Amino acid sequence: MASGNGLMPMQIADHPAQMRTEGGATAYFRKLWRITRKELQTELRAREAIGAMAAFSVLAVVIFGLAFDLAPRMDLIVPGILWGILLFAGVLGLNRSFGAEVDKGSLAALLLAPMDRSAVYFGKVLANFLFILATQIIVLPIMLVIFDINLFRLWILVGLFLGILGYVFVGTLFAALTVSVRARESMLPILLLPVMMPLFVAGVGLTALVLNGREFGDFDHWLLMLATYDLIFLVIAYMVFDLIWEDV
Amino acid sequence: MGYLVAAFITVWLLVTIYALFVSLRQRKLEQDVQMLEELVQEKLARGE
Amino acid sequence: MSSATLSQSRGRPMAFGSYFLLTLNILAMAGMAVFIWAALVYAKSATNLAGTEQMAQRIFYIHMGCIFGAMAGFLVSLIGSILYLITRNLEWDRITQASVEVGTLFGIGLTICGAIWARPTWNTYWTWDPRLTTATITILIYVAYLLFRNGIDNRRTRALFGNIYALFAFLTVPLTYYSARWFRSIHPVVWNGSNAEAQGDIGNVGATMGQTITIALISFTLLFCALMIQRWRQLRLEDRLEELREELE
Repeated sequence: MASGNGLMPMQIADHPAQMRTEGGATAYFRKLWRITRKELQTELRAREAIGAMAAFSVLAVVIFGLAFDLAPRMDLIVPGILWGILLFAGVLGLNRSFGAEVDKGSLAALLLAPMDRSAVYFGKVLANFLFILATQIIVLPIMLVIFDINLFRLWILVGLFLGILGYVFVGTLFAALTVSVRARESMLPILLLPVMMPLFVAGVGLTALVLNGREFGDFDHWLLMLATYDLIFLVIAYMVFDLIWEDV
Repeated sequence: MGYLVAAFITVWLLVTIYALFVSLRQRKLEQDVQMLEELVQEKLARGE
Repeated sequence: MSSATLSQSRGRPMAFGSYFLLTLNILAMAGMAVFIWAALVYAKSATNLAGTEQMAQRIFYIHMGCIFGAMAGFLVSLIGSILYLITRNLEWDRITQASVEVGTLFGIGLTICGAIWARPTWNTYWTWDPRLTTATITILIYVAYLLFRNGIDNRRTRALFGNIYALFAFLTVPLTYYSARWFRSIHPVVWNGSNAEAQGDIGNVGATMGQTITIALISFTLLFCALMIQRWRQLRLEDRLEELREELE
């Protein structure tokens, strides 16, 4: 998993820059995909992330469905429930992202892999994105059944896509930050959720307007907000991810 | 009137408590540092 | 952490520093006294309000003061975190931590006295107005920063991760503000004269109110500096203590 071509750590240390950057863009994406594939394989075997996230999400939908049973209009509360569950459930998966590496003792091997650290980051980002997307694919039909609100509308799905993207950009970085902290499981949501606030507000605003049957011109600013958020935090996360393990 | 008094007192209370916390901690830290510095000096004197 | 920090906390520079600090503390105290006088006595009552609201309007000055303190804190923390990530000098990390602490303190004061003021003016303690939302989220983020720091044992890692998070924290503030602003708004836009209904509109507040705001700006900035430098010096001492402990082991 770590170094498929059997290189010893010493040799990597001799030519770190060369080992990490050689091969250009295609090689970079191949390395990135290696990380993602490794994550997907682990997930297929253990079903830690999606299993936990999907179970939590379904449970939360049922709990909210019961709690808001008497609410007069479901389309007013469903946007908040959808995005709230997305944020809280995502934390479970993100915690496993680097937490599992530490528990199995494979973090050092991952970091020794002869590739740019950003490839590790984007590989994990892609994997987490797919996990959360899979969870949403399970959650949306259940929300349709319980709240009788059809969320399968083009712009809600686009919003979810952009929202999950921004969420995993920041979330994966913070998962890496919290992995060496005492009480990491509880620290990640405390760090992540307030930073997610712009994304959450934009997502809820977008979903509410689309459910309200508005025109594209009425909610395009929310899509812009989501895209801006994604872009800003993609750049910052890319810039700082290399720093995290510089002492290791 | 009551609102005005409540607001001012809240803010001053916060600032005072913080200043008090900092100054108390400062005293304790200064004592500790002094003690440890003496210990280090002793250790150096014994070691060399 | 090497001889640089050792020599700074020992010897003569501290002696000069403590005189400077004493002067700053006295100035901050005097500034606060002037501020209370200006806010409670000097500033004329708002003519467009009456009764409870007119009295409560004076909360505006301490509200503004806390805003200046909090803004100073978070701006200094941004500068500190960027400079730490560039230079890796722990001095910048201590500056970031000290200014976040004091900024959060003013932020909490700002939120509480804002809520108290909102009760007579808007007839509710709390509303999800953009500025309120932004202030609350900002405080929560910086409290998270302080908790996060506490959970990391290694001094270098603590500094690095803390400053990365502080950078993210500051970037979230404008995004939160704009997203909340698009959501809904009843808070008056103070610095924009086009809003005629603003209770605290700077355009028509009259001379004494304007002067009181300036006094609030100066006195609260002084108070921020005094508290922040005090705490900064203390954090330096804490690191020194850690160094000594390591030396003994």
